[in-house]
Amino acid sequence: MEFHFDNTRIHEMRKKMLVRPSICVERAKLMTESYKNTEGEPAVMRRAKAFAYILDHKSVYIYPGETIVGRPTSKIRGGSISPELQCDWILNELDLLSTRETDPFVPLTEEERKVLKEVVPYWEKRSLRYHWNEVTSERAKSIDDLILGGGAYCGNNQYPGHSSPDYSLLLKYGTERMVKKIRERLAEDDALKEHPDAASGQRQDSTPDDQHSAQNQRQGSTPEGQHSAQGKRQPLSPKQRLELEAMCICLDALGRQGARYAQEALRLAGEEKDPARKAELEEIAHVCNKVPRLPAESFREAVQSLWFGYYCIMIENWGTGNTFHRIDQYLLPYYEKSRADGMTQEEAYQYLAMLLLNCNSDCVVYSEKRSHGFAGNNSGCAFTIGGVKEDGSCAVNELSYLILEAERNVNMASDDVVVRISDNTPKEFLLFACGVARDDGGKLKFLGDKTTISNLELDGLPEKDARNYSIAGCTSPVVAGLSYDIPGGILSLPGILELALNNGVQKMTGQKLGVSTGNAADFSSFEELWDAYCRQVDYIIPLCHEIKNNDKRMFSEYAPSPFQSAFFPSCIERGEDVIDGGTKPYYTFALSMAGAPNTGDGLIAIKKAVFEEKKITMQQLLDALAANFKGYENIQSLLLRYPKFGNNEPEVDGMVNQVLSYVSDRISEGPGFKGAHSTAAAAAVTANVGLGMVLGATPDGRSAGQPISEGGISPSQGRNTSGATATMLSIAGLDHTKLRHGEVLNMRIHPDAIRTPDKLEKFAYLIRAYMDLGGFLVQFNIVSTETLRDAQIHPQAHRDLVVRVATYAAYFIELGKELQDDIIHRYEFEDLG
Amino acid sequence: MEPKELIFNKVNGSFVDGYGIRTTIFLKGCPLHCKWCCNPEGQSFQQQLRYLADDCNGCGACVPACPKGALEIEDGKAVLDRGKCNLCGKCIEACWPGALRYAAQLQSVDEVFSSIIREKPFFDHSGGGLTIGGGEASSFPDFCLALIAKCHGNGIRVAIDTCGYTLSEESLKALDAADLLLYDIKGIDEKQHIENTGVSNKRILDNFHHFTEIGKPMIVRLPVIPGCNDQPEDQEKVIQLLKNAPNVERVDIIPFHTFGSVKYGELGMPYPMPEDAKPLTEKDVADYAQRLRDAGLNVQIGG
Repeated sequence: MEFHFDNTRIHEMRKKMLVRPSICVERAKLMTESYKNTEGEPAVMRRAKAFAYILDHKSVYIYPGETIVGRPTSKIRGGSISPELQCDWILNELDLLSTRETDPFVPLTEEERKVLKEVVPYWEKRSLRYHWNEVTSERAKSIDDLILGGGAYCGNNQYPGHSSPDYSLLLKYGTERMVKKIRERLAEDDALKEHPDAASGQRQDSTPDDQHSAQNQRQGSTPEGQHSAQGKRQPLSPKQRLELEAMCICLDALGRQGARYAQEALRLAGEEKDPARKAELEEIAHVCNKVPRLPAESFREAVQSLWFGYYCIMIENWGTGNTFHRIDQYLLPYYEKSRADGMTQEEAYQYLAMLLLNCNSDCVVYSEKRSHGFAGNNSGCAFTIGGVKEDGSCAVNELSYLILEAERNVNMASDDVVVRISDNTPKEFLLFACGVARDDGGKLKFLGDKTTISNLELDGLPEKDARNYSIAGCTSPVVAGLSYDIPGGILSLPGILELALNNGVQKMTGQKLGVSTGNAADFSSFEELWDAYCRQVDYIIPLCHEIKNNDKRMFSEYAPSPFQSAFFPSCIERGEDVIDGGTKPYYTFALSMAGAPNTGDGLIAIKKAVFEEKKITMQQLLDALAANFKGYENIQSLLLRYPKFGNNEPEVDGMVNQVLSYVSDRISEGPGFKGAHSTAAAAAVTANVGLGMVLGATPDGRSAGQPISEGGISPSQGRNTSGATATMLSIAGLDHTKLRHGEVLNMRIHPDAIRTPDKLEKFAYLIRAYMDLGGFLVQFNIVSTETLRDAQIHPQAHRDLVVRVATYAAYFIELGKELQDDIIHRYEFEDLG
Repeated sequence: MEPKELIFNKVNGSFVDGYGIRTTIFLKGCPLHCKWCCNPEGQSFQQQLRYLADDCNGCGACVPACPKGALEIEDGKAVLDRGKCNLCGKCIEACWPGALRYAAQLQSVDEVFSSIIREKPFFDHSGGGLTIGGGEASSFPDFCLALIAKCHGNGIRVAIDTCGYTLSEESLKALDAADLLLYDIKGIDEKQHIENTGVSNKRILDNFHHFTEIGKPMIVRLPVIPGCNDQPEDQEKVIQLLKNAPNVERVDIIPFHTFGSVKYGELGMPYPMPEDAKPLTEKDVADYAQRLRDAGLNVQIGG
């Protein structure tokens, strides 16, 4: 398929958004004002009222050329600070925010500084981080950021994101009817309390058409539902009623948001000289007077309603990885209707491209410290396309192609298209996606249905719901409106190996972070070392759970999400917030494991060099590591020569798998806050740089302070030299059931390697074979080393160069030097032969 | 006994060297010595020691390890006297930085096959398979025949990359057994061919006709080397040869490159191409490709 659309408007808007981001203080200001007025009220009401207050008072701008309108901030590319999460760094870093190397912002104006100085102190003893500090043990805190990176979101300056709302409800019903349904739920509860017997059996009739597919199955089977064994509803508790009231407040506020933009559009139309634009503005006013309050009746109305819903989720949960889910599926009925009514393919394309552009309008403002872990000013909006339908048939449709075409031309950092690959995915579609990936320098995520669906089924999801998955955040498979899966921190597996080699002490800080497992020089066998590693893991994991569960508890107690919860039928049925387990049993918390390749590589090197070949003693190894190989260069060389993960070498690949499996099993033992399941991922975001900075030299031959392996299961930078297929075989061979929250393989390919149609086809086969072998996610950087080096020297000439950093993409020139170098050091498959 | 041969390289997931995604193995030893050869370690049939001076840190561990006294340290780098070296490999064992290493590994058919079979899913999806290159694969007929039989028994297709210079019946049998030949034509003028490669091309052209006669599927590779074989008259003869060979499915133009030059130094061999040899211009390559296409051939630039 080939499209020839006019991209003038898209490219003009794109250019305007390719600027350094600014900081918008509105949300912080309005949130604080509202909180000052709601002292003493329950948290969920305070949140709802603050949400509504922000929506009703935030700036309303419509930028030239826009047809899908609305922005979560007052800036064209705006970052928002959330002092309610953590405020201790903000006032100290007002200048640094614009001068730092990683993620610098436009300098704050005097007025903005004044606002922050006024509002930040209010949160000093009210922020989530403050409360988290109060309840978290010193032992757990001691590993924070040294072994576990970013384990508490309240300390990550952002909400956990990964929202999983079912936007199709908003498109189908509009906020008015959504509120009406919740009100009915409350009225039924009133009736039930007045006449406990009369109300039984009513429920089935009250929600005739909007039952989520798994909802019916679950209501009968789960004890958490509000029904007694006989199918009768239980009365709602005051807390549950409050949650529902809060949902209504939020939804009503969303409904009013459209009218605010309609008003602004009419104002601009009155001033507009260009008759064509004037007509456009009038049309915008017409659309926004209708949605999101009322049901969408056309494709354009659906896209506009969706965008309002999405950015308001962002306003409630300012964070990354809030996603659009299976957009080519739930928008399809609107697309088909409008096409029948005369909408051209190109018009639909323009709305989609505008949506992709819009999701680049926001980012998180991190502290200097945090910016290293989440570098790149990205909000990671995944658009999942392709794959299979609930009945297993191929889900690819015309919209799937149009979204890819939009991605080809927008190609900015935050729009993140996830292409699901199934056995029945047409070759034509896969080739089209590969062409877009090549044109966009990599960018697309390719995801295997086979492994993902079977993992979700292992989690207990019925097959047809599992088939409906999409990706939230970096790699988390979720089902919109049904399951909720939020991330914890990033665990440094080589950091734990360091503890095992040093009797629990972290070398660089000299702190005893682990337990005593004896002097490694006395270990007489590899098994003793492995045992010490396991005991360190056994000690560290419960501390990670403490960090993460306390974090979720803070969100539950101080910052619940009634707005997001209103998009989950189960949350409405039970009057329960998503953070409190409203989606149970499909409620999971994850911990990510980083650096498994370094750990496996290192263990194999020790096994061979010290215990099998006896080329060096353990003491010599420890001395070499302590000296960061200074004066021990040959030992470093020796360690580097042993087999490395990613080359399809069974012994070392098996060791990496052994490490991942052991740690994953300990993680999944939980406990999770409010009964959430604990799951593991193999992912690193950009914490591989930060966790590497605090890690001494490692037995895989890595020098002190260097980044650990990126991506989670991407082989250590530059070590997978046996071909792309060998790398894929190594990773496909891991036990994916231990990595249910996701795993990340990044590969770098020289653009020339897939330049011709013949080579591009081979690239498509490579991806398909990987998925067939059981691969989960693979993504590429298709940018040459020369281009990246040139961008370091001439940043402005490469303003829009987007690279895959971790699971998300970022503008290369906005990254710090360390991260830029880390990307360059990843092995480049040059000419694939 | 199962044949074992010296393998000097293996490339997995190759997008070149034939159709689909391929694994290519390189056998050590070749009857030709092309001036532009980019795999000089593939020429000699003997094991060789590679010395990568850049990787030497001057630690000196190799000096006492060598029983022949072939190594010493000068100016912080090891210096190898190849005249004394008997390839015992003691220095390799002692050299942790890996500056000293064998040019190839002796491997049995089973050893080679066990790593190839793991790549099969990629072959199956892409219509790819194994490519046996070198060196000159047909110089090792027993090994090739055993490996091809094993691959065919497991549903893996095999291509052989050959210079076509095969003198024995056994060698021809090995080429016949392959599903596809990547057949090099390095020029038509015999005198020039001898000068460029050390051998006459008569046998190569005879064999080419043989494979055309039996209809063996073939991708012809044309290395285009400035100053060696890029005269338009000779190219015209190549075109005439190919256009009359219906078994030629594709023609790959391989423009000259100097990627292999560093390996000559590592092996103690002189680099035969002039220092200032430049690759062809894109235009020259495109022109040749166009003339081939005009003759009705399916042409690709690069492997």
